[in-house]
Amino acid sequence: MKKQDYDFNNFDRLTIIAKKAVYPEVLSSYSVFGWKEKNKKDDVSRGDIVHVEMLREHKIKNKDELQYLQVCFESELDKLSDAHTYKNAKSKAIAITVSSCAVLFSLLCLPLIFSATTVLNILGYSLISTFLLAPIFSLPLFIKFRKKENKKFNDISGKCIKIIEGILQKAKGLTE
Amino acid sequence: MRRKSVSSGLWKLRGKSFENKIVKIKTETSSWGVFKTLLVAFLIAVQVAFLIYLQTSFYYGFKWFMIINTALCLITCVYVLSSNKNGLSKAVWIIFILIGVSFGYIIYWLSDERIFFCRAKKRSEKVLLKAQKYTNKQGINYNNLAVRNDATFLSSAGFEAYTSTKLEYFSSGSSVFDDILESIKNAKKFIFLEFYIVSEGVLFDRLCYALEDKVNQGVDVRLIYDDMGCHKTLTRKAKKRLINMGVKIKPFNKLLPLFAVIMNYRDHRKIVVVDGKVAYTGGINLADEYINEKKMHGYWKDCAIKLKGPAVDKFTLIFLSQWEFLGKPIEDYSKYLNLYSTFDNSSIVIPYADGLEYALPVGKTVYENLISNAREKIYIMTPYFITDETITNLLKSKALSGVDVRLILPSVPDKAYVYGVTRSNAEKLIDYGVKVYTMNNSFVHAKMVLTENAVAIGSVNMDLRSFYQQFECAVYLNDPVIMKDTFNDVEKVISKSTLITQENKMRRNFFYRIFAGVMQVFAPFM
Repeated sequence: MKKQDYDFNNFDRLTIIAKKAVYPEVLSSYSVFGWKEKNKKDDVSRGDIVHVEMLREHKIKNKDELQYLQVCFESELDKLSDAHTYKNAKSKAIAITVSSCAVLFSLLCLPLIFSATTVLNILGYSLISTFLLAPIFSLPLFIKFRKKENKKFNDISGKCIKIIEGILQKAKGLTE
Repeated sequence: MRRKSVSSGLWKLRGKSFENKIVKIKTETSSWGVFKTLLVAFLIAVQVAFLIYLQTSFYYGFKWFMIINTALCLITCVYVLSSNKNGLSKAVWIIFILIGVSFGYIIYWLSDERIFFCRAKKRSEKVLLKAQKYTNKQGINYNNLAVRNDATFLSSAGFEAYTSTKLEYFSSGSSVFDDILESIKNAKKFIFLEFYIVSEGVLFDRLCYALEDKVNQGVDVRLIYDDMGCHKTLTRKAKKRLINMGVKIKPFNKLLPLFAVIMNYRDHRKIVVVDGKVAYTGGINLADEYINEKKMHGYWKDCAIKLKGPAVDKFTLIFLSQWEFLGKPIEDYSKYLNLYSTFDNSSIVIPYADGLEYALPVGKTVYENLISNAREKIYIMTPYFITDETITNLLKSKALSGVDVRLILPSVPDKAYVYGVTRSNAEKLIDYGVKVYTMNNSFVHAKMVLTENAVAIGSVNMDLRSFYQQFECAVYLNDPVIMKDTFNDVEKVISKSTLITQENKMRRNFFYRIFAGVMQVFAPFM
């Protein structure tokens, strides 16, 4: 364990990594829980990330409640991140599956095209064209599904943001 | 401790890329501790595999060996049936012995404490008898019949009731450790510390900072830590730091890479005694997650109790007995006793402990008595709920009789397989009217049972490990102020919890029920 390089008897420390674009908002959110920025440095390899060290007085009013609210706040942030990550995951998966199946079945039908029989040739061409057109025909379904996903994401993110605002409001009331 | 390097392109923590996160909390982890655990587990697995291989080879190689083995296996099953073990343990052992017909009974006998731990048990009993000579009996009039019954049981186990003791309840690890550090700063004679987990970090540094001063002032500072509990968190460097400071340390049951079931017996106690004037106990260990300064399993909910007065002597004796059990020197305890002040408080306070030296499982029996004497309410906070049928049936019958039974569990598990069994066991009680809650975004580490008669707060989990395999301690008390504080804390926790109903219980999932059923077989070992 590295030696503590701050006054650990009188202060608590929190170190986070955040994206530069949202950093001001993140800092103002954490300040509601009593944290103040001590140190900030850019990530060595990624220009869009900052490493932030924050300090808070060790003995503050309503500390237990603030600690609990902070955990809830971070949990909602994680949910928001996950909602964003998996926003269009299902539709992407379906699109990839349909396209892959179309290509696979088309390849399976290729021997029919090179067959000596005309009927089989015609069958082969029609099957291949059907399979290759399938993704295009399923586009409206895909768009509908996507819209549903976006709506679900908007609902979840709206809910998370509302909860986060509620938590920050509560925390503000405790630190004032 | 190694920090994860930030120079690799993406920050990875627990397999998740930072790419998709808004904010990530930096937490230091020790890979050496994980490696050590895996190495020990691997070596033990190799020993067990070798034992099984040897036995199985002989079993199928020699007819007479097979006959004798089978006979011994059956004799062992009959012996297990007639033993004092709880029902679930008996069932699991018998299944194990019958399945592993060539080696099962050998593993059972290797774990029987009457054969292999008898020396340790005798030493423990000797130390216990010595400690009991120092115990003062106060003549107390019990107004409450339920409290009188509980006190009589604890008295029969060697734990006397005290009055004139001032008490204070702490609803978080953060607040209790602040108070402990203040008490340590005022210490003049001795500081005794006993924890299951001692972990390097900010809290450890704060404690060392305070202790260093005290040792230099000539204060006798002693620490007992459990070697299994600390094997990942307390490095050799940290131990050396304590020793160099002048702190006397003793590990409980050193963890060895040997297949020996005695390794299963751990010191789960949490005791702080300062100058024989003030004592603390509860669910708290010496680690940053307990004060919520390290992110682990969500918000860490804990509780503790502070005692000032005659009852402190019992914790001093519990600590000194353990210290002597772990090795010399043998000393006269009287210089550490009767140093307390008395207070105007007629409430009953009974500090008690549990371990190998007691014939009955004290912690479990206290809980059973508390629950069976309750007529209005039973509130339980526990991180695990892996009990045998006695406590489960008591809770069911109490709930059906109209008693307000509430069980508060974590929503964030520390061990997924244990949590699976905990939730499964708890959810079975819903059908009988027990209200089961999980505290949102939290790991409930508090161990507490509150009824209208009394409350028990300490280190005793509601699980078979705490009841039968671990050394524990707690306080039984009926102080109305403390009971009110505890009740308020429970109400506060419930307001932050989710009630488990038939609609949202995990047991609705078929695969989860299969998983929980299989894990139940290993419940006695969890």
